[in-house]
Amino acid sequence: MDTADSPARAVGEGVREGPGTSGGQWQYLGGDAAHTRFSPLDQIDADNFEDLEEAWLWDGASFNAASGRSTPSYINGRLYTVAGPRRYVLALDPATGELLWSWVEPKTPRWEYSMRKDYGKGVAYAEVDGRGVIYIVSPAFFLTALDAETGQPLAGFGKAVPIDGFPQTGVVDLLADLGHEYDPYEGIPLERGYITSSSPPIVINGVVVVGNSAEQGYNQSRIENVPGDILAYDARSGEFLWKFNVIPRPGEFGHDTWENDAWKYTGDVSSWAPLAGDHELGIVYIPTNGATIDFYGGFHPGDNLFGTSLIALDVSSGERVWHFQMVHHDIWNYDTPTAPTLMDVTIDGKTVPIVVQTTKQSFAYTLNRKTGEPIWPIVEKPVPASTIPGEKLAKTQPFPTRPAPYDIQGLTHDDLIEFTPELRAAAIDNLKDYKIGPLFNPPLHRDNDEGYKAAFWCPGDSGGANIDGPNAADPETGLLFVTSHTGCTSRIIAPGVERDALLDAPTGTTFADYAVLRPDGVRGPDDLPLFKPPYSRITAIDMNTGEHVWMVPVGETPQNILEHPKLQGLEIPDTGTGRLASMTATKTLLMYGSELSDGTPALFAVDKATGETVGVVEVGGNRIRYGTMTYMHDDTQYVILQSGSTLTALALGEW
Amino acid sequence: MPALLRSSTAILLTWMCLIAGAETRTTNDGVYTREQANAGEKLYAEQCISCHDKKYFRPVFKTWDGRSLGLLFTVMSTAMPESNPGALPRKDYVDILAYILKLNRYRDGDSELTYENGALEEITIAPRQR
Amino acid sequence: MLNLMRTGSVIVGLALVNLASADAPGTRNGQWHYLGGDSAHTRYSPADLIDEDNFEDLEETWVWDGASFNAASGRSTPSYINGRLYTVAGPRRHVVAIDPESGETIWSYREPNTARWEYSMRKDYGKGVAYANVDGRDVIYISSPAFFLTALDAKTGRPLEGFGKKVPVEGFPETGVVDMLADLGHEYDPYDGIPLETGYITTSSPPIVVNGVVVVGNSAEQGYNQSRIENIPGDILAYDAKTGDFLWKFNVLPGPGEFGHETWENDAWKWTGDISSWAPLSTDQERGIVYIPTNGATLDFYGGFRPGDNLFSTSLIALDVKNGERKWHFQMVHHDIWNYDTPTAPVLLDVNVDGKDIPIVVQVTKQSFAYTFNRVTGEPVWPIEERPVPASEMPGEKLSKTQPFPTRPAPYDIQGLTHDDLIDFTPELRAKMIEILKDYKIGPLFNPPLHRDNDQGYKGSLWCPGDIGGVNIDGPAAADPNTGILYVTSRKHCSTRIMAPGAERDAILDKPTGSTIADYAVLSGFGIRGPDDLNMFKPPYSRITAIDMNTGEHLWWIPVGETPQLVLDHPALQGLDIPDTGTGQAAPMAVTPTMLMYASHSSDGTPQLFAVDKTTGEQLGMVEVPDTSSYGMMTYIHKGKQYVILQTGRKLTALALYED
Repeated sequence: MDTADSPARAVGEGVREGPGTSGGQWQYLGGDAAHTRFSPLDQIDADNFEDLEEAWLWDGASFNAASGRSTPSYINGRLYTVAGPRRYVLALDPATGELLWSWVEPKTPRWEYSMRKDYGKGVAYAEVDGRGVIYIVSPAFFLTALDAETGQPLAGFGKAVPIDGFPQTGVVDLLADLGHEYDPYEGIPLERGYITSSSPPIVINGVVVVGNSAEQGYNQSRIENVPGDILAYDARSGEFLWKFNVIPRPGEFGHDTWENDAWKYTGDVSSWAPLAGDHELGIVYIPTNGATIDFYGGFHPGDNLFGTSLIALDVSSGERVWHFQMVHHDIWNYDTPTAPTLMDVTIDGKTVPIVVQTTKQSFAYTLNRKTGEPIWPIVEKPVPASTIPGEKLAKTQPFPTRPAPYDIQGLTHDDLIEFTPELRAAAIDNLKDYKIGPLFNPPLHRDNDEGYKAAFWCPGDSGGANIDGPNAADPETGLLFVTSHTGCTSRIIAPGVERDALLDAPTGTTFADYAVLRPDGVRGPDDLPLFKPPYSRITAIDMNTGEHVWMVPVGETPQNILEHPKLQGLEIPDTGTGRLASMTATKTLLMYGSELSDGTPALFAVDKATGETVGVVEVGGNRIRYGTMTYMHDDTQYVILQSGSTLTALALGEW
Repeated sequence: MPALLRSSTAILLTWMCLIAGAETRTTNDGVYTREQANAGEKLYAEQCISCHDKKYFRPVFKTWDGRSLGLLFTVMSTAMPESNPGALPRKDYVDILAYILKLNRYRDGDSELTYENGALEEITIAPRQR
Repeated sequence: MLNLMRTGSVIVGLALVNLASADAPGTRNGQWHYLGGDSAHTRYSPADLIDEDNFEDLEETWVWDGASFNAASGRSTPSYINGRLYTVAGPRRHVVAIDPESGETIWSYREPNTARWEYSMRKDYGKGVAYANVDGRDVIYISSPAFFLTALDAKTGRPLEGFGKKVPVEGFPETGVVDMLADLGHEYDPYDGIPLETGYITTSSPPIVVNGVVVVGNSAEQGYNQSRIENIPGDILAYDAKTGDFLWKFNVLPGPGEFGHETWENDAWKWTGDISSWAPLSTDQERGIVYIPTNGATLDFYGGFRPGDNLFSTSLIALDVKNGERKWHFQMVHHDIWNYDTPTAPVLLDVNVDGKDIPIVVQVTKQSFAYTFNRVTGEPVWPIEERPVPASEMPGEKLSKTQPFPTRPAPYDIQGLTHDDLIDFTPELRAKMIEILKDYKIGPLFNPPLHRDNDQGYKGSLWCPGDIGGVNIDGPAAADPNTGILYVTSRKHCSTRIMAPGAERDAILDKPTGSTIADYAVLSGFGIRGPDDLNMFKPPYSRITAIDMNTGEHLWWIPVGETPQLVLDHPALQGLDIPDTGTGQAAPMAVTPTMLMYASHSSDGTPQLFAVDKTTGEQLGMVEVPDTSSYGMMTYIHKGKQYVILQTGRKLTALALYED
């Protein structure tokens, strides 16, 4: 009997408890599959927090790491992460930061074209037949499984890729299962589109579910592209299991939300944020991007399912369990920027399994994660129409009634800087060429009848919530910690041909009638922010009630505000840095990375119940971004900060 | 009709060149100082390098040929850094711009790059001369 | 007639190709297989795309930053083999494959942790890798600080199947590793190593592979740190390149019945050690000979407990790779107590002396001699004479009455010290310098150390050259195999030490090796400063000397780099005519058909790469480079483009010609 094929040989995921991590582990980039970024560790607490000091620093320079966009996983005594544009997979010694092994996929032109190369975010993990396996998806869109012990491609996984230098085993060419013509080396012809990846897959119940990522929609000029269909593979063999079409084909649910036959040629609807999963329900939760292209969708009228949606799929079959579209016909670049967070909360005395998706648009959409029903009513409300020729926006958009928005939505003069009447007046003057309005204020084209330079919509591209500030949550109390930033965006929208002329190797063949020519924007007066403070914040929301519990600015008020000549003698409230917080919650604390007034990177400790800052530790090196994590190794609790090319490990010093 | 259009465009361009006259400089004219580029290098490492490596702007400058540095300044100073667009003082953006010019091997000079009085609008991006 | 001639030249051509595959002096086809370029360590490449005309168009094309491996020293020269760079980096001596076009890391290999690794004081001193093609597969070999030999598949970085035996330490791979302690004949533990009471052995150079045999040298704890007389000898080991099977051991400290045993009196052969071979090894592939340059015996600066000449310490040993038999040897310093350990690989050249083709090996040394031998027979090419040298006044120290002095080539740098060698820009500076020296006993070459409480009332003696040469580890020689010219970089330097009873040294050591404290040992080391922050010597402070090895004549010498600003701007020197002094640092060098390249600094301290005319020493060009380099450099051609790699601390900096 071939025991390797015996169904009794389980494929497991190691630590499965959740929401929340256990045993000092941090298996998923978001801590657990629920993306709570919560650890029950308590060695570091409010009393000793300021005894934290650098235990080691790992510099990713040998792998050209720059972005810091990967949260390591701590699994069975090792750290695993990805680094650099080649998305090297690395194992590190958790006590010293020493590099144990490195693995890199051979170079291909399909890798070369990727605009998400250094955006790897982390790894996926499963135990297969008692062996630890690390999974990643590469910028070139290969799925690779590595033996966690040696870093070598997993034997018996995938098929040999017919490219020089690829290993004989361990790799799956994901393009083979998308249904487009492609060349293993060159990829899909650019005329058809381009697909890449900027998050690891997630493994749920022996199934590797793979999301994907597209070229930034604000860079694009042509209407054709590839849809970001979701793929699933067997964790042991790499065998293809199923595909979920994010742009429904004829006969599929949601197909009618695509008019003008755009489903035939357009694409994107990618899922570049990490995926979350519920092992018990066997459901994977997929947050999506809008469709090709950002800021103009005249060629794809309709609501465009499953663009800018949260999709719940049955991992065993890839069947849609439910979905919720957060923005109909999204042309605001309101792509869903972080993994949804899963929690079990008590509402009106009943335990409810929820999923909450925080977004750029400052809503925390909260749904029953089993049924997809809104926990609190989400109502369709009328929103403005577009005046760009050909653009037909949805007449309404869904507005959650609860929790309340956690940051700015739309813009009125009342939102502007008000330290002095002169500054307010200057801000109003800076805005005079821009059309402002409520949430879902639509973009304006360059030669609009109203004589505006452009529209200015709020929140803008950078949120609200965004990629560099994933939520944290406390599964024990049901508190959700959301970090957000007050910002708006403006783009110069012009005939697509003008944008196209600036592009080196555009995807697609047909110019869009309109596209982004370039970013534009409105600066505040005298190098001050345009808005009232706080410029960035953390909001604690009790998910049992949907109530905001507290709100604090992120980090310290920047020196250039404190010392600004126009503000001397005035009482300036804490403004926050304007940047998002990199958060981790533990039994004892909410910790987040940010900066002191003078820009020195620091780790802050906050009382989870009150938001009060209970400790601040300066750390060396570059700004902390994208995430933090914590683990227990050999009885020492470490906190890992992601900062540019380095990982910094903090632990309690001997004092 | 198309021929007419083309010739009037040519006339317009000639006229524009004339009024701009000697004041129009290009990125080849030593439009930033070494000190600015040095200050910009530090800022670039803090604010930009995580998404834009040192060779990022080489192709960008090719496509921006003929446009003004002012436009690039507007884009940078309102849309970047991605995590907090427009957060830096204008002087910092100018220093970063100086460093980007240095990265693209434009030579430095004695005159400081400045955002004031529309000065950046008067500097045109041009192919680098060795 | 014409036809015949053509046929004749074809035959010659074929012979050359054969020679090339056997790796005669000089690299081929843009490759750089050995850390010294070829196994002759010429650091010569026929790559000629960079020449005098375009030299100053060189610019940084990529930087490989070894930070992820905690690289710091920059001691490793990468090898370029079949389209890839291979090097070692950092204290763990990670083996790393690098893309020669982009500088991207391709794979890395790390040996699991052991206590015997932790003790090593040579961790970040890996100088490169060894290479062989085994059954059509490229294999990379390294020896580690913990003294394991590892063979890796060059393509994947995975330990070679069927090589070595499983090491019974957690984390070690099933295959690919040989525990070399097993073959030294001392008791040891696979994790902890040899008990420190017996001694300690480590490595700082890669092995070398000759005709399917991996020859492994070794490295000891720095002799100037030690206090006890016991240690283990650095015996040379050899293994089968395919299987890792142990082939032979050569005892560098001969036992009873072995040649040279009588050079050890007082039974010291039983318990003392060192005589390591920490510099890289060279080989004559065709003749199957490996050349091993050695260190002195335990410990530096005092050898009273081991009277005798102490073969094969501070020697050049030629071994037959097949069986480890000694073909010949030459001891360059008898009973070495000056830390005149041989610092670089010997260089092999084929020259013509007095009308006769001679295969030579030339060993440059700290003591500023270039010892030159027929590399087949070991006969000196020019007479080397035993000449009387001073005796030691230290109790118990019996020095050799004579030392070998090559009559040719002439020394390339200072030997011994007289007042005439001292700074002479002004009489005042000379007088100040003489005053500074008054507490030190100076003398000729082989001026012996003095103990602290000597009868003459000196603080110590000052011997020249000192610990760092002459030539040292940071300036390996280069050579042009076509012309027979050897390029030697050296500096002026003298050393002094406070010699005190060994117990005083021992008291400050954390974990000394051995058990019996030496009567004397180094208590502290220090140098002599010149007057007013100036160099104590007349210039040049460092130089490159070109020696025609066909004649043994010096062709030219030049100072290394430019005169430092500190000297040019020195208040005491204003208005004086100051000659070019050189920086005082050695020059990392590489030779090509078009030039001698070396790295140094301009006066203002800016790192520069210099191009020099090989026959005249004239400077052809100078180009600013991003970082300071040391220890070596290399060049290769990849996809039709020539690269120059500078070893710049933790980084490798690749230069190539500017392209639009």
